[in-house]
Amino acid sequence: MELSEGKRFSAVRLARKIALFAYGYFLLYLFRDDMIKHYLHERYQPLTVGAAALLITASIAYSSVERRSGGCDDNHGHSHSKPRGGDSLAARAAAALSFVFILIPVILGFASPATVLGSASGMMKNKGVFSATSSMVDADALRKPHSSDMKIEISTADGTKPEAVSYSPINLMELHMLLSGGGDAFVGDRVAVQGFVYESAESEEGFFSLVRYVIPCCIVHAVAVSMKVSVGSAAPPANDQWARVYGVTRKFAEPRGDGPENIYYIEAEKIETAETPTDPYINRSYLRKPFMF
Amino acid sequence: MWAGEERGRAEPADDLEQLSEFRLFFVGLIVETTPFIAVASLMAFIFAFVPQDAFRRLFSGNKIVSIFIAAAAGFVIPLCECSIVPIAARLARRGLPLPVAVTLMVAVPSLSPIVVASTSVAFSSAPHIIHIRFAAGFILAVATGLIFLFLDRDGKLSAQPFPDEPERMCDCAVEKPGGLSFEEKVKAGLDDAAGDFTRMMVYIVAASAIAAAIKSLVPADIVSAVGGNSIVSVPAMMLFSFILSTCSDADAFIPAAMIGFSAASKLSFMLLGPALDLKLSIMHFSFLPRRAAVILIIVIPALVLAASIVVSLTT
Repeated sequence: MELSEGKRFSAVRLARKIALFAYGYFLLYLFRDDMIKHYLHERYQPLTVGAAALLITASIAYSSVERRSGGCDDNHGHSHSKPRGGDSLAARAAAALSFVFILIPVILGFASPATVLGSASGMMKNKGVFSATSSMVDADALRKPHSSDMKIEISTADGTKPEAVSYSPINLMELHMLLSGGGDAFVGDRVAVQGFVYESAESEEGFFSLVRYVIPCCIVHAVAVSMKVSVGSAAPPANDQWARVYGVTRKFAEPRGDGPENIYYIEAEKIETAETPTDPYINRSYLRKPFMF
Repeated sequence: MWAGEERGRAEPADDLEQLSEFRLFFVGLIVETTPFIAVASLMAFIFAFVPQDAFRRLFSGNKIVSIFIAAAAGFVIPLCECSIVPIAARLARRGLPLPVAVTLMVAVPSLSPIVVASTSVAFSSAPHIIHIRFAAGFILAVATGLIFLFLDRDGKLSAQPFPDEPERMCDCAVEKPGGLSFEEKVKAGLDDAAGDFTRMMVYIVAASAIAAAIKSLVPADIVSAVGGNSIVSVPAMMLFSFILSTCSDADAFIPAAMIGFSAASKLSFMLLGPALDLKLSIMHFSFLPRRAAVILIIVIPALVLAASIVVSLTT
């Protein structure tokens, strides 16, 4: 079927308008129920909203301008240039396919919710190490009482009388940063952390790793942050189970070729299983109370 | 204390999990890059209103000085590589000398304020890597521009034809004698912007699919094994950077997370990616004269390799 130039122009313009609007609407759609948190760090979210508005506006403006100018029919009284790539059926099919192609991620994004990265993915990534200079770290950051502290009842050593103990809720990245920046100043403090359980064939007996992913900018660059948790003779929760660990920060010196290396871990006093949080990824750190949890 | 289920062991991801992860990374890359493509398309719209010879006048002085100015401009222009390539190519069409345009293409994604911020966060514990990245990035941009200036000394390289611009829908808005009215400029600008957006998204979608497939299918321990070898780690990281095609605004987090890799190999990753990767190569062939795109594929990896060797010998 031979398309007139005017109809071809209209078809290409319509495809471009659909693409602009589809991408703009998709970016806005991700803000429903905070789905965007599964993809992007929050500092990029205003840019995403702006881009969505820009794309939708461009799509509407494109339609409006075309309506005002009456589009482009075949009777302007001048000749039109031939389209790039020729005007054969194959060229038109390629153009149509490229239009469908760029809509694939939008369709995928609408069709299924974002999955949460878990331990299977953790096996395929390097564990992140976050550090902070000591000037950024307040040595009493964990010890100052704060309304965000959690009071948890812990059984006493003889198991007879529960005792309310105060823990500082903190996310794994913040804890890593405090420990690497302040070192021993934070050993012995009580903290509450949450993450999913990860055990590999290399896990030591009596320990498991509590892991969360940090989104430094985008989910593609997510970095797993983990901390060892000591459970003694008790069995840890199952792999991938989200858990809250209430415990005390400890360290041991692990022998290495170039000298011992301090390994920080949490000695668990209580572990609770938990639902996957609505915001499973770590987006930011405060390094002061109230910490991000 | 917890007393519960049996001690579990993480199992490798099954096919379904890998597909889910592929989908997550694929859509994630698109979500990450689309705003920058939208900004680049906005620039295409704005440039419809810019007099064609404005940039020619701006960089009308000594070309060597212009190359240094263009490289320094990288520190203040907050755009990534997906945005600057079509913009610089468009400027080159409108009279900006090709060596200066190429300098902008390398400098902006290597040195932009966003890249400075993200690299500072990613390498807060290794500030020397931050300093080397930006010093080497500036030198890379200037050296690329000077090489282009040398290769274009007879003007033949600049005279090469550019690929066609995205098709404006009707030449009546383009070739009108006496210039365009405001409404015609809006129409032409929207055609340019929408054409740029749809064309760039074809490359972004293809590159994102490849990068997502590699990230979700290739185990990290294979990557780490390569990183431990000092001889192959630099070219391996360059290849990794080329294939991965990550956005320069956030690329520092990937090598920062790769424990065991040398500083030189991490730098090679961060120097090459913003200037040349899979998606950029496709974009270069789409926006620049073919010979210029080929020269970039040869020159930039050679300069990055040389810089990485210098770094590995001196740090």
